[in-house]
Amino acid sequence: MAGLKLLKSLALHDDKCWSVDVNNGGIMATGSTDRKIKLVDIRSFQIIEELDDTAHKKTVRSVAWRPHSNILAAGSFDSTVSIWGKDDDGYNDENDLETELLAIIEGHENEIKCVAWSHDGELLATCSRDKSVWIWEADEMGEEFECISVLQEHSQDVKHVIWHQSLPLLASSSYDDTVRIWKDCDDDWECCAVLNGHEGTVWSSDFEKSNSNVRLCSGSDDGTVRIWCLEDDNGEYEQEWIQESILPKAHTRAVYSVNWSPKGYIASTGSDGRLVIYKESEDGWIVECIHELTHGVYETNMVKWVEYGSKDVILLITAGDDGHVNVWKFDEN
Amino acid sequence: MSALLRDADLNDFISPGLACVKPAQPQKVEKKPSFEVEVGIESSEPEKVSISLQDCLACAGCITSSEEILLSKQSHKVFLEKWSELEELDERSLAVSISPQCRLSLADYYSMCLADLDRCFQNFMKTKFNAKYVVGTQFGRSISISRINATLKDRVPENEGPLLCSVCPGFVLYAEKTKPELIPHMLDVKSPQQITGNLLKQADPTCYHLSIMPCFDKKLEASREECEKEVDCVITPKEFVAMLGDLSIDFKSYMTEYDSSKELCPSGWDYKLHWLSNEGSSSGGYAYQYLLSLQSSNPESDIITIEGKNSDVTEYRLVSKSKGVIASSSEVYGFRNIQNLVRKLSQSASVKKRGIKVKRRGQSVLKSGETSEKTTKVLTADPAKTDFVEVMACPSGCINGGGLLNEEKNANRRKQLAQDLSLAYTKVHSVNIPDIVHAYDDKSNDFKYNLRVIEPSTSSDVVAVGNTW
Repeated sequence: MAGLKLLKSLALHDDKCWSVDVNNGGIMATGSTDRKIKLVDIRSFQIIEELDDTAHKKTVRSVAWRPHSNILAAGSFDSTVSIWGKDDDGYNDENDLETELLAIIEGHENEIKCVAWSHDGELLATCSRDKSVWIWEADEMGEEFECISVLQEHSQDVKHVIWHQSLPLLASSSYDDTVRIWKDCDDDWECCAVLNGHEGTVWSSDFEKSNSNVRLCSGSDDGTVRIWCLEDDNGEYEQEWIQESILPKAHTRAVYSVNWSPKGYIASTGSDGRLVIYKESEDGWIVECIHELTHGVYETNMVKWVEYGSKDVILLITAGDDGHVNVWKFDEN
Repeated sequence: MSALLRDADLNDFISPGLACVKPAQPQKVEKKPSFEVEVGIESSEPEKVSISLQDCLACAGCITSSEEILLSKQSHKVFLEKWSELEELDERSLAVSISPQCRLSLADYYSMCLADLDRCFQNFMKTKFNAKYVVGTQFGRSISISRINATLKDRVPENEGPLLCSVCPGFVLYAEKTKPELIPHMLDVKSPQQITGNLLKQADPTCYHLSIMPCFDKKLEASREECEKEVDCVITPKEFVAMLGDLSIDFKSYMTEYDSSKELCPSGWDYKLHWLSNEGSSSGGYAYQYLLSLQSSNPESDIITIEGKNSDVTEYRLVSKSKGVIASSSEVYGFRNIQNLVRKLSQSASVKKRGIKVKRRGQSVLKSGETSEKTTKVLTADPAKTDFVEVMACPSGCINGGGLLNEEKNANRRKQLAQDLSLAYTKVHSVNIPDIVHAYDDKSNDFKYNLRVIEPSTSSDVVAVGNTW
């Protein structure tokens, strides 16, 4: 039976920790209600740096590393996105330069809920309580951002955005209980599918890390995790998606975060403090393991598989309302 | 504000701000003075608070204008009611104006050529509604363009950054409510709808003016305090067709070979002019016409067109061998492009205001003031550096207005239809902004908007729907 072991509990923040991301250099970034962004070395668990906390006036709700870079995007309830980076190529040098603020992106009317980079790092998606998703084109330096699309079809607060790992597809999850799929049409982005099924806010979604299947998992306030599958892409504007399955019920309350691992596992966390791992078997999806009280009595806001390091070691990171970031080792056997 | 934030389909309108501040401020005038304070007892009848278009215009609580409110004040039903009143009173006459985009849309909808549509429309308005005047909006537009050009000639030399066109009510409201820093950049010249209305009311001060326009925001424009007397009701082609449906009228049965444009034209007007159109974009051609007006005084100059990042950004430059770039203007349509323009004009200021230091590492990044031509041969459109920007809230501009008869939901197919109509637009005989216009080009303030910053409400009773995380 597979198992989860807590490697380290990092008390990083004075208030709720919302979001974590790890870049391919092994640097973890975290964002919190205390408005701070911290950078932590995932090997030594040492704090490398605290970014200038005057950049944001409110909660840092979401952080995301640009793929294969040291450029970080952070979305805040103050309605802006900050972009951070440094000249130096890596974090190995002892006398590292400070990470500096490269840009502040304004445009959203109010609280930004999530930021996400496309796989090639050229596009940044942001979403907000203003019900919109914006797509920005970034220059190589991460200093200039041009808005290339404003997507306004959601009827409520947009909670989460995520890109496909290789295709130009974006998924957005909303308080309107739907997930919308967007694709590049001519010179603008269009909604090509609406995934209806959840009976509450969809808090997050994630694409399967596969180049053959196009599937998406989604976690909702209704306590379920669902799998959606792209049935038909006629190359036109509309795509046909079907709800393939509902994962075995393992949460008693809202599911806040879902993450699909490169090996095919799905992890979910939520309001009940549980961390659940699901695996696809010949007979469908099964619950591989459940870990209770991942952040004590607090809610667990985010879960993320970490690809960094040896292929044999699978890590999971969770962020909780206790301000902690917990690092877990997942044992497949 | 609507056009920027909603799809063209009527049903997709954003409902009145969920956090509308208006109900939090019930009218107190009707209340009897009370010296006793009752605790724990709710007033028996909660007062009904109605929200008018003027309330929406004067409030920055939300930037939406609800379908319900728009349609309760200005719709074909309101028009029909008013018209039957007019008939009974026999005091006021009916004047109708219609924009070229609406004529093209209706012609497409009824599968008519434009000339047939115009005659049919005139005949319908004359026989069914006994209209006194039925006019196109080119006369008003010519005056609008002429005044814009005159204003630009005065203001461009002194202005830092581009001046912005105020003809699109969607953009005007957006700026007034959410981007106060733009107001100093905006021209105050009124739109063709309002100037046409003004001229019609000069011709007959008692007339009831029905305006047919491509988008719903034109209703809000007509509700502005300084515009109210010029336009009585605005309807879109969608509502026009719905009205004919309600009345069980076959529009095509009004088809005639008889051209009544002369008799339906106020005296002193060129009866042909207002049915024509000028060169430039299908949204009015303001950007192009500005350079055209400068070209005559710059011999051997050319207007070059530079395509932008997407089809909704275009830059024009007036260039000559001896002087280089003499003047420039641009067209910026749609929310995303407006955002980029606005961010370029206002972002640096607001970041500075917040005292945030943003590091600039890039050696390759051009310093402001430098133009890219010096370093590269490829010309790129950069509206933020032009003298004048024709801003339109809708992607593809007014030819894709939300009130036109374009039921296509898919944005790409909508765009195709808009392009087809744009092509049809270029075939409307083009006119030069004629001399007759100058007779009306006086110094009166009738043709000016009173643009102002609308401060956000300070009411604390606003309940936002949706949770904050």
